[in-house]
Amino acid sequence: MTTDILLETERLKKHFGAMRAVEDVSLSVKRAEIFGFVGPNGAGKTTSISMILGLIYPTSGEIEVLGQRVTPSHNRALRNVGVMVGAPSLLLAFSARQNLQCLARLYPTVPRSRIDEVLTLVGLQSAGNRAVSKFSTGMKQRLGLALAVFNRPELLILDEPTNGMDPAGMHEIRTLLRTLAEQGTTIFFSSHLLHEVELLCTRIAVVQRGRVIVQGAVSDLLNTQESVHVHVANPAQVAQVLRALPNVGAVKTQAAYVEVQGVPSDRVLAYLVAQGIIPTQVIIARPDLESVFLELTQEPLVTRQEVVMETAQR
Amino acid sequence: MFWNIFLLEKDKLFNRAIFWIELTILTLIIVLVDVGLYLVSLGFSQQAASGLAKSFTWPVGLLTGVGIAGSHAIGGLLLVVLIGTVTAQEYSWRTVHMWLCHGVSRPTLLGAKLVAALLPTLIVLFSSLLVGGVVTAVLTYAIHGNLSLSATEVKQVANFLLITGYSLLPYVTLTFLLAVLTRSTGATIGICLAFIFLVEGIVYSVLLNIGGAIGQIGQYLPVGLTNSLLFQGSGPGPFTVSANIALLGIALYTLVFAGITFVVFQRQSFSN
Repeated sequence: MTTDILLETERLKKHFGAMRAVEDVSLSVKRAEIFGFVGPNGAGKTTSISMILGLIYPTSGEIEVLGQRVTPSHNRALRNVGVMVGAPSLLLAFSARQNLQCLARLYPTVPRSRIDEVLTLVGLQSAGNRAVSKFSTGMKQRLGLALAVFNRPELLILDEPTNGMDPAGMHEIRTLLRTLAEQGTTIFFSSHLLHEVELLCTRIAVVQRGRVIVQGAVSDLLNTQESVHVHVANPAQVAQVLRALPNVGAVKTQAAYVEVQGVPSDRVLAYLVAQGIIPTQVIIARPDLESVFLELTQEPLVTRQEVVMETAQR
Repeated sequence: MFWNIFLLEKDKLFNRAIFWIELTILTLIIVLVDVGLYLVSLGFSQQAASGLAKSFTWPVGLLTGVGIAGSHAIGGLLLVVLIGTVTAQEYSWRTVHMWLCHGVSRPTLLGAKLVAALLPTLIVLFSSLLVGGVVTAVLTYAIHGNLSLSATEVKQVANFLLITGYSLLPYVTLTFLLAVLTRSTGATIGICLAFIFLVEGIVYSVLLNIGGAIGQIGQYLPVGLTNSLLFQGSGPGPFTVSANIALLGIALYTLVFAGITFVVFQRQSFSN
């Protein structure tokens, strides 16, 4: 594994007795990217993240963080990782500032001024001396983030970072994550908010029933699901022509147009022009991540595999 | 890293209100007991008052103060509550997860926490000596006009202090083990107190009364070993073991409880 890959898992598996929480999670996160880890409830996201952080013993599989193997017995690599998993881990009896002072004990080389710096970064500068037990959910989330970024980590692992925050707060956190990514921090986060994932992430992995079913660039994922609506006078005839286009996916004839999937719109247009067909209108229907996600996770796994095999055989 | 975690635990302890509240309770109880006995003695005849006064004046008054820190006295109970609370609460707050996620190894984290648990133990012990010593010194001066320093055996006081402190170790490690095992403040404190009052309190007394071979089992409980250390040199008793065996026994209890804690903690899953 190269140092350009900051986080890599190979065939991670976790069984709790008869319950198979994670079956096969293999993913890799490259340096300086924002990687989204999405899936329905109970898909195995939090269990996978817990294994990556050495909190749970995997049934099998390997994990490497920053080029070093990580297990519950060997977690030294996590010194340069910032983490917020589930509800933030906070010393409720203490103030926000005291929580950061406690964490600062683990990083004696980080200057004490960093405490005020991160409190300002997450918008808690005026609440620094208030007891955390009095914080709202959103404030606790902000403090969790402050703790995660305190040591200027190379890799940030976040589980639902905007959970419990209002829209303005979510926007601030997204801006913060973008800024950190621009400064070179690699970010791996899971979220149920797919529009947030679409806004932030360069690559994603979709997990369902403990397996990664899709992994890749967000743009590629959306492009493959893109459909082109070609408005022509004679849809049935044009559909026949388009079915001969190499690597085309589904071609469906509608009342006033032909729907083409699986190839980018520019190739469709170039092919039609080459065949002497000039459409009256071309509409590119680009699904959002949510509709792609729903399509991927609502189909039975067996059906999807059959589709993949059928496409490969063509 | 070990030292950093130890300093972290120290910071956390001194920032906890429960620590200062317990220290205040301990101080108040020592003062109330000694002053209360003094006030009661004022209503007795001179001979009876003189007898009672020995318990709250030097040299015995010094030992009484230290005794309050003992495992079956208020000091020990306060330690169980404090260590049980601060250790188990870190599971409910999930801050154990946080330290592990920041690359602190499990043995380092647990080792530092265990060593840090000795801090309140020492503070309770020396606070009892200090407060008890000062209060009984005042009462001694009030009654006798001097501190009876010539009658005070420093070596005896130091010995008693060491035995009391040493005998607290199994209870500290047992509390720690239960906190790690159950992850619950209530269960930790409840089981510990049940062990102290039911097993060591009632069962130990019953075994002593039964006598014979069965009665000898009790002397190998931590309380029995402590009593053996305390009553050394008082003449042979039916249920005392030698000082070496008592010292070894207490060490074994401490090591076994600590060892089990390490094994449990190493294998624990910290899921959400």
